[in-house]
Amino acid sequence: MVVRPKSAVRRPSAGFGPVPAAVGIGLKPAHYRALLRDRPPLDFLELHIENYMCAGGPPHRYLAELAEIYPLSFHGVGLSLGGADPLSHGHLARWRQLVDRYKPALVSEHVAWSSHAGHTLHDLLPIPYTEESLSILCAHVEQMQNVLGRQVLIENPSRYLEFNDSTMAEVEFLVEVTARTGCRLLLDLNNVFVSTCNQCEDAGIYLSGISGHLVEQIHLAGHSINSFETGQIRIDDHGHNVSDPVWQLYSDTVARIGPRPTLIEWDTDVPALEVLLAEVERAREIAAAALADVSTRSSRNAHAP
Amino acid sequence: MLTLPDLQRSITDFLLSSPGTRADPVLCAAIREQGVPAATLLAIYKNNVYTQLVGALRDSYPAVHRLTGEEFFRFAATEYMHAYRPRSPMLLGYGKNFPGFLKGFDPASSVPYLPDVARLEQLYLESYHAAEAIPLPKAAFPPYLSESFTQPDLRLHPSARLMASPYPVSRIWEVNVQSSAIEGKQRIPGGAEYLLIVRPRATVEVRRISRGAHAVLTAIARGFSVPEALATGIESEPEVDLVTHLLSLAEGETFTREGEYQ
Repeated sequence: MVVRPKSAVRRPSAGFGPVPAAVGIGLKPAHYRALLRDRPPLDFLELHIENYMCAGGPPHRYLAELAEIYPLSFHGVGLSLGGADPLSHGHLARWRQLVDRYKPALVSEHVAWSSHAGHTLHDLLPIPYTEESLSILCAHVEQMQNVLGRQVLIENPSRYLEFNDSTMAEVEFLVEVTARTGCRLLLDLNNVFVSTCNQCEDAGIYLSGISGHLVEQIHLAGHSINSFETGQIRIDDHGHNVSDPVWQLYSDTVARIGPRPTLIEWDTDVPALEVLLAEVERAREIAAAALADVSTRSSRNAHAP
Repeated sequence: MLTLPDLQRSITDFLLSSPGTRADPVLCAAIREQGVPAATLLAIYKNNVYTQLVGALRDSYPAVHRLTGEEFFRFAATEYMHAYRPRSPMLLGYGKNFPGFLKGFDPASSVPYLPDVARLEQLYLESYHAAEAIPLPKAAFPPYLSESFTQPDLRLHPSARLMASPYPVSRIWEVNVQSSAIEGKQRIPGGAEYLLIVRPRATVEVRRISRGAHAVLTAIARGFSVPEALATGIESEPEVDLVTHLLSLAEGETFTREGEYQ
């Protein structure tokens, strides 16, 4: 049975008007002290759970203190849900232990694989979108949900290549996983942009295939561009500001489906906390503007003769 | 058509192969080409794997990185990656065999103290991530010195690690992890060192201790009582007042009691 988390991340509505989006940042050791000292107005902190799979030490000391102030989101990068090999029982047990200890508001993993035959590649690798992949991924998502006793979110990957054997589009594949397992989506808009650009597809068409009720969280991050003789590939490096086209996708998405807990991700060359807080403010402003625009348009339509 | 296990095996082999290895043509044929060749697309993932693993080693071994320089460090890290393929989804432990690897790595043999610096950095990380325990208060330590006190529950703090080196390894390490860079070669004073690495609170401490104290702590870690351990220490360093040393180590929250692990 899948149990929903008791408290999802939601910002209380300030006065009248639309409910603003809850916005958080990825938790980095470089920011532990500043977060505890300054307690900036963040709605949640997200962490890569594998970095906390240790017996003790400063990461847990700081995390325990921060958990008193902020809701947490646990994001996994190592379960290899899309891997043909069975999931690691040991890794699932470590997941369960940390979820029991910290009771995060959100829990997510990736539509990707990273391990094979005992080797771990520490990268999120793409799977072909076939019936075979679908049944393997669904079995793994169900296993994860059963071990954790709750619904999990799965994140759409950033892709630099596509397989000839794929028999369905990514969106079709993701929607089918939610239907079969009851999981929901973590919609990474930077990944949508990167993947659709790399595959010469249209991000707007991609997003229109996903109903709002399937999306429980949004990720925003920066990327870079690698140029080759015969073309360009966008690389999801999490090392830059969110790009303008991705902000536009965010505005469009919030206007279409409403606000969702939104994460600013920055994992490479992590900048000062102020830089992340500025991105958080920008996300709030863009979401608020998108929602205000929707509400103006709907009231104008309501009053139209 | 490749099955999912075959596809993933083929990609894994390519991603962990030596630099310059060509991707399997069957694998390349499974990838849709849209301008950029399949081999180039696969190389992006290979570079990601390499960057992650080298980055994890660089984060774990900042002094070794500083001592060897970026180019040599990358070379050593690549060789290490092929000798010890990553097997855990946690990057935290990926570099644990790096000190041993460096010991047998011929191109590094001109820097004989390098494996010991790496060993110190590895013990530092172990101490950093070790379990928590309530340190034994200094006042509770003296009874353990008495032969008639038979409570066998004294333990080193779970974050305590011991190390001995024929080089002034902690001084070399200190100079190379300080953020204010000291340019050029410099003379590091001192010879052999005995070290206690411990984190009773939030910060890892690297303490230089005497040879006798090292022997005593090693014996306690092996389960000997304090009087038995002291006998070993006095044999190792008869001229030193080890009891005073031990009291000062107790004050420094080196010990805990069984059952006080958190």
